[in-house]
Amino acid sequence: MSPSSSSAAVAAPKGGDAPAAASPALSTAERESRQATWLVFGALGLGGALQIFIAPGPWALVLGSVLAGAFLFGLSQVMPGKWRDTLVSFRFIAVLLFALSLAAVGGTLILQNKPMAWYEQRYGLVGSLIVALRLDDIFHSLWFAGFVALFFASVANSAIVRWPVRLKNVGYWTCHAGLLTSLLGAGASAVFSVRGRVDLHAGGEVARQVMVTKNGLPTGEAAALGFDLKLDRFDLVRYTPEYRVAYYDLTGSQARLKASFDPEVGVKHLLPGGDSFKIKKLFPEFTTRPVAAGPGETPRLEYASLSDQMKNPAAVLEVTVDGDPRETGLMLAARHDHVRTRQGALVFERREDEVKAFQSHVTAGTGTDTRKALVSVNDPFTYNGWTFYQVNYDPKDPSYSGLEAVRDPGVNWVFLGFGLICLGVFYMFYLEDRFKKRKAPVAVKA
Amino acid sequence: MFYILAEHPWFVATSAAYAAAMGLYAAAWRSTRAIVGRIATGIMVAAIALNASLIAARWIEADRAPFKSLFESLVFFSFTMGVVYLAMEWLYRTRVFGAICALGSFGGLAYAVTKWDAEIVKLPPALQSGWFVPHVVVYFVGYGAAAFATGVALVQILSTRVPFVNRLLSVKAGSILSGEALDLEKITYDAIKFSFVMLTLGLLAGSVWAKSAWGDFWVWDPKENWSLVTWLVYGAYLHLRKVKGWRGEKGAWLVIAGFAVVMFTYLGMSMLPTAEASNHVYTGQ
Repeated sequence: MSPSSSSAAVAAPKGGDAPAAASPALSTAERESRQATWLVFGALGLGGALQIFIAPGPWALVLGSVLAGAFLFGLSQVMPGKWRDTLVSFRFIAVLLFALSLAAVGGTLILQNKPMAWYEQRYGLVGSLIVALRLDDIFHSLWFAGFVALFFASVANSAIVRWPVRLKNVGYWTCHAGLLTSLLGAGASAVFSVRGRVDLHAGGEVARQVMVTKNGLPTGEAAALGFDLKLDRFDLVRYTPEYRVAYYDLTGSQARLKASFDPEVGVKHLLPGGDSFKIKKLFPEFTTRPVAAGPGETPRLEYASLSDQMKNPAAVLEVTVDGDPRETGLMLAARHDHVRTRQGALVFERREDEVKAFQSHVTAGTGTDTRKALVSVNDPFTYNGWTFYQVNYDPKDPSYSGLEAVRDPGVNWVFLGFGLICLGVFYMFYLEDRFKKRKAPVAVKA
Repeated sequence: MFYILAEHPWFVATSAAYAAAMGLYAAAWRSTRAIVGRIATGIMVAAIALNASLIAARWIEADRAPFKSLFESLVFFSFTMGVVYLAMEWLYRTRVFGAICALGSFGGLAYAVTKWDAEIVKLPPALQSGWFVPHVVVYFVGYGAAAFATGVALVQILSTRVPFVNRLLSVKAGSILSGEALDLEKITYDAIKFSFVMLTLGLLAGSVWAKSAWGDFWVWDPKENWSLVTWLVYGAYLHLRKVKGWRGEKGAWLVIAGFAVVMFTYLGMSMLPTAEASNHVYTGQ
């Protein structure tokens, strides 16, 4: 990204289109368009051709980007034909951003990082083409690296053009330094990070190594942790059970939950098709109790509740179908008792249990030097350079927990870059103009 | 659908308020009486307050931020579109765009009715993060600003083709309070700048969140990719604006195209062949 108006002032005579001189501006536009096309399609073609000999991957991406970026930068300094001016022009950057957009879109149209045979099996001839062009791993491909290299060369040249750093262009510097820092951090992350799975069972099973994965699939390699990691306990925490009167639509081929109502006595609810219902009686902890019978009467039972807690709820509904109110019999949630309406059915039932948290209680360390920690989703645990994330569980094996172990030397640089981007963008858009406006009267006086 | 509306009168009232504001803003285009425009703004404020109450009530009922499902996010999107519009009305002292923006908020609620949640779901572990609320809020404020910019860009394009629209922009029209001609291109640019800042914050906050949840700050998930595409397209617009010839209709069309990308990023993920690999497809879609 380039700065707002300060950069326009810098770039206009070279890369932009000066409104005053119509004819040269047109030729500048033509040159920029032509050279931008050459650069983008050149990166695409050259990267695509080299891809035949070099498989996509983190190293291909990072090395390809860095080497090609440095080469392009150097070349742009010595090449005649104002290639450097094109590289710093707003038009070229916009074209490059569109090219990167198309690459990103491509990655959402073609499933990435599947086994090669999968593409041919699923898409036939098109699948073979996808594999041949290595569109199965777009974001590690050499042509994508070519785009990143163009980006590097453009930003580096723009930096030279805008040197030195001043208050009026510090936003540009901060933002672009952030972009480069993030990209370099991401490169370091792609190349040097190690990630893998640690599968453990509660009760003291110990892991000393990580089963390395790539794109979520095991590579067969293992990386030593350098300490013991023990799973003491695994908890699958669920939300408190809730009950509902569910309305299922039965007009289709399958029953579909259409609406859900809290069990509240006396509240009338409308249903699709104009029917309605209300709960007449609710027994949170249902039971029956004998009613004292008078002389000569048959002893009978009545519905009652042992407490106000929803432990074994039952209800009696009043359902109005076609304007005709009818009282249902006792509906027990435990039995999923239901009553039909014109288009569907009302079911008194317990809601599906929803998971609140996956919690692994672990101990990390060696010998007596250990540390206990809780690992849960969004709350990872870091120890001796490794960070552990809660990523898996097995509903059939409550003692099992799957952790993702990551050692990533680049991530802090990525986040530092993010911070710089945010600051830089804000500065460019909302502070930079103040410095330019302040300077304007001085220029008039001079 | 009737049974839903009958069960939720506040939702109906909010929609009706947006519709009324839309009608009055449209009336303010032609009316010479300032009171019409003032009432339109008053009703828009009321609609936004009602919309805020819907969000607050849902928040209390669900015991979590109401941004989980598509329905909930649509209600919030209507709100942010309304709030961004009001801020812009105040900033640029014009009610020209009121009808379009009220239509946007009303449309959001109308679409939400078709995506009504069968029940309020609990928050899954992955969404139980301090990043959840800021990530969603900045994104939807950014979307609201992008929607506003798109409305202005549409007016900009139509003003050269439709005499009626051109007349709306006359300084004599009651809906321009400043007494100065509107610079539509500048208004669009300002809105996109603001949207871009919000999208940047949202994108980066999402990335930091992804790292704490899954251990990776970027996994080329379809939603991540399309969020990046949105950012890149608006980034390209901000650059192209410095290039001669891109401040007129071409720029306006690009803003509209950018919003189409925003909408696809928001609503279209389930259409992608890679949707099954995404962690971001809304429930209720």
